Amino acid sequence: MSDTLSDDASGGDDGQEDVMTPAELIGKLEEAWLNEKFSPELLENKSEMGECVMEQLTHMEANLQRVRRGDVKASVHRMEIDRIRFVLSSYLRSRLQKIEKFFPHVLEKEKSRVEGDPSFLSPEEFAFAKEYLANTETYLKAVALKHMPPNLQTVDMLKAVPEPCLDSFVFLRVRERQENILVEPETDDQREYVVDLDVDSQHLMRYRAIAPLVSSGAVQLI
Amino acid sequence: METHSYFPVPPGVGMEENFLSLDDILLSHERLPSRTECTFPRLGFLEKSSDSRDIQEGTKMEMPLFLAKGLYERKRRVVSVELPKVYKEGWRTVFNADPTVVDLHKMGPYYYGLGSQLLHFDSPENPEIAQAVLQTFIGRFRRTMDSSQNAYNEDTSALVERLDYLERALFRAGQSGLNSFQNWERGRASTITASSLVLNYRKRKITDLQP
Repeated sequence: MSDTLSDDASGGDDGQEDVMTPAELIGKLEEAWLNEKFSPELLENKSEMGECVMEQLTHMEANLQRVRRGDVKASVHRMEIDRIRFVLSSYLRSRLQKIEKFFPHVLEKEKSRVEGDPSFLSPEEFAFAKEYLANTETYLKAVALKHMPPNLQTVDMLKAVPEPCLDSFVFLRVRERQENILVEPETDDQREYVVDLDVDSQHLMRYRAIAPLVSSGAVQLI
Repeated sequence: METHSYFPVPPGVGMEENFLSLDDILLSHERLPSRTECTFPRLGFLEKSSDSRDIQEGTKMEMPLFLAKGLYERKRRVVSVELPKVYKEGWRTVFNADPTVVDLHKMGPYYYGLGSQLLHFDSPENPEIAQAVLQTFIGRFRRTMDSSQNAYNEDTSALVERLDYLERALFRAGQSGLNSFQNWERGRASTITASSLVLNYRKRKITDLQP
């Protein structure tokens, strides 16, 4: 499937510094989708990858218009287009769900990040988060807070909305060998210990221990 | 997996209480036996048993959790909270012996939540309370999980009536998982059904008019 895909969409790579075949691009999209679905916090934003995928999809649809009707390959390609579109929209949907759930913390993280670091939110997501915050505050004020005594009329959103739980357990598959990952103790009787992660092994660990590895791509959440 | 059109805020984990969670708000209505350490002038109407105008020092009364938490200070000038009897030594040994037979709904429907919140009040028995709550949960969890995964299409009220609210939420999650899996097995996973919000809103006038 992937080589017919690259035949049809061979012109879609221009405009990127590192040339990626469309198959690799779709692979990266699926990895980002799985990581975003299973991680308890909002991960780094991959908007340039999303835009490349959209370009590919429009290219493929344009190709499909030129094919004559009734060709079996056309319906298979159409299914492929639909599947890729679903993966992309599911990726964006899970990001939006997390933004809605943790909106004050997301905005706080964005405000306090250093200038050179990659951003966690695309410009549209940032605008969405700010609007959501403004709407929620207006709603709470109009429904409840304006009837309260004057010194109780503010709600601190950072304390009111629960933080993402970084201690939740996630399944992961290791793609690059890692040594000396420190695992914190869970109860008072346990001690902290170190584990080594071998390539292609699968583990169930707390997210906090492997959070930096997910963003660097050394492990894949499953 | 259930996809909601909105996400209700879940109750807090452990000693945290989520500000916007309805479960935690209802939890904070639970009453605790407590003793006032100073007088509360002109608040006599709160305590129905005596009809003085203010609450004297040393009065024993029942306060809801939100009031007790707000008034409690480490120097204990204002109120001191006693443990409800379910968390005391006697009941703790009962839970140690066999956690699965106890009717936790009767013991205060928010047993785990209230137990976790009691840890805020610095009683000397805090480690034992924490251990007892944890061990009770561990002991009862297996049965809850088994019953939620194996009761398909039958009346579950007998199974659910002895569980407290945290366990009931787990039970419901297990049941919804089981139902979704059975639907998927029968190929009904992709049929579009009317959303429960629309059905409850009862705006389906056109179908009512059709003969």
